[in-house]
Amino acid sequence: MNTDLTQLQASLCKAMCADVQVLPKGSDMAMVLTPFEFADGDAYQLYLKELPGGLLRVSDMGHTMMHLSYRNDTDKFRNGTRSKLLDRIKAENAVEEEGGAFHVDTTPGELAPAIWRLSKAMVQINDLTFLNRERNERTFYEDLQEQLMQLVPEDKIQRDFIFDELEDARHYPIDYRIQGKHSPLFVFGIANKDKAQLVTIILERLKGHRADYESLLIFADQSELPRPVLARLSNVGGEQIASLDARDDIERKILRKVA
Amino acid sequence: MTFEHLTDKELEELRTVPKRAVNPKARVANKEGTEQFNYKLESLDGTRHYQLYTRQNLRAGMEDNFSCGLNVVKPNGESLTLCRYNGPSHPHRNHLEKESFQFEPHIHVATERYIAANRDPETFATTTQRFRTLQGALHCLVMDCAVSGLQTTPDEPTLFPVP
Repeated sequence: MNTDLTQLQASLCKAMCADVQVLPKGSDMAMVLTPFEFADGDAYQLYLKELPGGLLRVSDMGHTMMHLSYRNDTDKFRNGTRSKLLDRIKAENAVEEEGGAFHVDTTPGELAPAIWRLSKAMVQINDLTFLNRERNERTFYEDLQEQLMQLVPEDKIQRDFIFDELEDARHYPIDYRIQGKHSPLFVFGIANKDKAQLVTIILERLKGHRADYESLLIFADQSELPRPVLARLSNVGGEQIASLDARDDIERKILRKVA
Repeated sequence: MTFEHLTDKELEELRTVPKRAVNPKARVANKEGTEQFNYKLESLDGTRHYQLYTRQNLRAGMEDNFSCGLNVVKPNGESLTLCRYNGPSHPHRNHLEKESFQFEPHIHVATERYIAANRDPETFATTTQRFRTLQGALHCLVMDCAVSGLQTTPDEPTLFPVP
């Protein structure tokens, strides 16, 4: 490198220091301003409190969870996958939690790394919102399409197929029609209860019409569907795959039928 | 309605179309040190659905850490924050305008510009002297967004600017 690294480091340190401020907050706290901010432009809220023994506590004073609650039910961060990820984030960054507030206890000499650790944890916790249902569903349908396109030649697969012989056929779209060896294979992606019920109706209509087809139902997570919904669907549907993780099953079941 | 292509005019219409609270007596929840109210709203013609929320950090010294906001909600559950009225507990930066302000009450609004830039739609915010408390902020939101059915109280006027 031709760049003067010493000079670069000096200017970087100066610029980053300019973005850090420590301001009094009430009688027993101080606020630490850093360059970190939420995606909406609001600064991360980090506060300092003195602890016995000369220690300092850096805490978000519960603001991170409050910010998440604007568009999320924060209970969902306490169950299932999100909860496991939250625990991992805390462990990786050595961050403690007390009543919804995240904190790191440290000595004055170790304050800077403590602030970085807590800030990093806050960024990661905020990213848990990417796991919301609607985003997950969209990702599922995109992943399903990608897998199908890898398995089936483009000229043998039709997306959003309309079976014209049905009455009001456009209301009953079939996710994918794959040209089969004997009869067409209709593939449905099912990410939630509503979609499961719609597919049940579509399959019942196809059955009522005595259409010649085979069906394959691929679920985002079959175990999350209510049992009666799944039972009704199973009565009319063909082969099923519990989740996209079963790549081998998908491949085997599709390649067995594709022309 | 596709959130990705909303114009400023459409966003303003979503904010200001008359709406009523469906559950005006929503119960307070205290979750992890934050007092929360969540109201469901719908437009008077029943075609649009909204969430209105208030949040107050209950920890000592965090009285200025409050917020209330209005989200429009699609039938599939996807939501977009149309506006949010924040207390003065933190600085804010408008990324695209490259401007920022320090500790002042402020109002976020969703804008076409930020949607087009693939940023958080409600990033743009301006400072205000119209409220100092959560109750005052809620009153301003209810007035600005034509919400009926919720009892609100404005902040008392002050001779002195918000510190």
